[in-house]
Amino acid sequence: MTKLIQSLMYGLNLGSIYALTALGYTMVYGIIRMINFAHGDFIMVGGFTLFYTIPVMKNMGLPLWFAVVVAIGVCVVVGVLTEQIAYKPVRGQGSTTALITALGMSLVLENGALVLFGSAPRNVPPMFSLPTIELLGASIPGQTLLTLAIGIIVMVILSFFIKYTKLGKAMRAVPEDKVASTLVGINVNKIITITFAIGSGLAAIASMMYTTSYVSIKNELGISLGLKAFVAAVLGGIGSVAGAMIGGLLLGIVEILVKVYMLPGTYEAVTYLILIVVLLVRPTGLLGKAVSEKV
Amino acid sequence: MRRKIRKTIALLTTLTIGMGMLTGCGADSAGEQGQESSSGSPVEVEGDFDGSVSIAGIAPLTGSFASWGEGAINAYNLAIKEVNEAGGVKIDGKSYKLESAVFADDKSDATEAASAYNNCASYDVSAVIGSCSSSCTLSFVETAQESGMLVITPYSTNATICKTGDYIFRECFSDANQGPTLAKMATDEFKATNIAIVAAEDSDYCAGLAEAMEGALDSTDGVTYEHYGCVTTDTDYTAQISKAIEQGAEVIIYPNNYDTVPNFVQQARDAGFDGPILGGDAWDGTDVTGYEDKFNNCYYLAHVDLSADTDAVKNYVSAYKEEYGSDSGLNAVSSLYYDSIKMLVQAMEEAGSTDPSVIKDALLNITYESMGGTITYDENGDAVKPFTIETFENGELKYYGSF
Repeated sequence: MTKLIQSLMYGLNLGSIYALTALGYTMVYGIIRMINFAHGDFIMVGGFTLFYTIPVMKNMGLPLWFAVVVAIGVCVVVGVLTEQIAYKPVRGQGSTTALITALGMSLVLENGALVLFGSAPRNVPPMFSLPTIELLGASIPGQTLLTLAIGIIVMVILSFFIKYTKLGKAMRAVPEDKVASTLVGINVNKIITITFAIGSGLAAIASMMYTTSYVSIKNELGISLGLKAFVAAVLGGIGSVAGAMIGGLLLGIVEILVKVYMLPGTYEAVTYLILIVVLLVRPTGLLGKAVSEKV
Repeated sequence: MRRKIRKTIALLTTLTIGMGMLTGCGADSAGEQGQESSSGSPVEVEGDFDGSVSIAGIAPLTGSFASWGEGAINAYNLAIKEVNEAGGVKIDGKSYKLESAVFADDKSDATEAASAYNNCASYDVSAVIGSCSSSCTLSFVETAQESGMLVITPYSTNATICKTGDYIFRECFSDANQGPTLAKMATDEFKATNIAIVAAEDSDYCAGLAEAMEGALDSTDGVTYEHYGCVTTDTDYTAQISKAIEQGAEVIIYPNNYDTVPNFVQQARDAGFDGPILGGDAWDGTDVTGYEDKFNNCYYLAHVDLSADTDAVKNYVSAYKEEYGSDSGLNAVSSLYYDSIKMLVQAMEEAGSTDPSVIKDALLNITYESMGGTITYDENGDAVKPFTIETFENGELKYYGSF
């Protein structure tokens, strides 16, 4: 029993990182119907920003969470630049072009980081030391709870923002009908840029939680994390904020449970087989709505 | 008309280059192939040499293992420079300049390593020095053996490599010895009777090392052990660690590559495991910054202790720092590349030839004083050399002992 609770806690920790990452994917997809494969690499950018700024903050005697603010700033700039330089020009060219551009952008960021930071793995210094909590005989690292809490807070804020604010309403209007949105006075380009800014800011928060659990970062960090978060977003129903959260948590828990109770070395095969089965049964994901494409 | 002439010239050039390559491959004598070297200006010859002999190198300059490659190429160039400053390779009263034909990047990837080797083999070289990861080296040793190319791998420890054939040597110890040594360390040094092994299944090195370890543990009385798999791209080891703790492991052996070590150690300590964590030689280069306290009570087998108070090590360390202005990349891997070249030169001089088929016999009988101790070779071309144990003391790498 203790083993199960412990595994669930580890699964929650891993899952909440997937969830935070998946939120960024879903956010962008929900607004512009584009899969931003470079999102995982934004997290890498955030990780390296933390790596360089945390020591600076320490030296200047500033609180360490300032580093996160800097990371959010850097990620937003990188995200918005990516959107302006690479995605905006190809926006009218169809989804395949956008997808390939995103893949290309992902490679540009990975290899750009290789040039800038080298490929040696770096340790991000610890930002906060949280106590380990004992619960029903299982020990839960403090960062698990923090990651989970941040994930839920972000999810709630995001849901409210999209549902009730004027900007959020505009964001929902854009994917419904771009032309009609323009007609009612929504600046579509501005909305898309803001979406990217929010998505990239989320990436910085995800990178903070990632580096608390997994201290070693390198330029290829975004590849598997991005891929798994993408799967989580699809599992939860891409475009749905709550779906990304649930999909991420579920993926993390399944991964850990497969590792603990089945094969730790080949867990990916088993995990993703389960996901394929889920998607065969529910092609729109857990919380996704079946939307018929307008012709 | 003009276009036709140009075409003819192009064709002729291609033919000439092609012929050059053909004859280049056939020639064994070192003196004939100076112009193929990429060493910059062929006119400039420091000192008086009667000819030259070429070698080539392979290391991961990019990819996951790039921090090995950085030191490797530096040490490779340093060793060549030192050999030439000392008068080159001396054979039959003549001195030959040691030249590097090419230093290829295997990008930490087995497929890329095979093409890096082909690049090296396209030059007329006496030996290829490389590569680092076992998966990379395994991708080309068979080709090398078939074409009679001498390969000295500085850092690939997988047990099967040198069994490929008589042209394949290594500067490091074999996992066939390293595995049992790690097992012995756990059972003898740390008196463990309950051991957990967490090894990556998708790496020839990690899986081979784990297998050799299990073989040794199977034959040790009163020892129980469990093996949990993982993959090299993993970042989360909490499942394996919690199983190890549940099993009551006193020692965890983590024979994986250095880039994953900080994650593993941090998670093990966070999960409440305070016992010794042991690693193989691929821990070399592990970054402990920021997590110094967690690395206490961690040990790994090394090929050399670069803090050792011996002349060989001190000379190497100071020469490296002087040449490159910092100790960036100065790790055990680099010293193995350095030693590989020095040993090759000794073998060529003892063989009195630059012909790989003669050098290989000299290597089998060589006694070479490396920085990590005396190296001799068994019949497989596997190096027999002492094991060094390194540990961390509040982040500082410390010599723990020899085995």
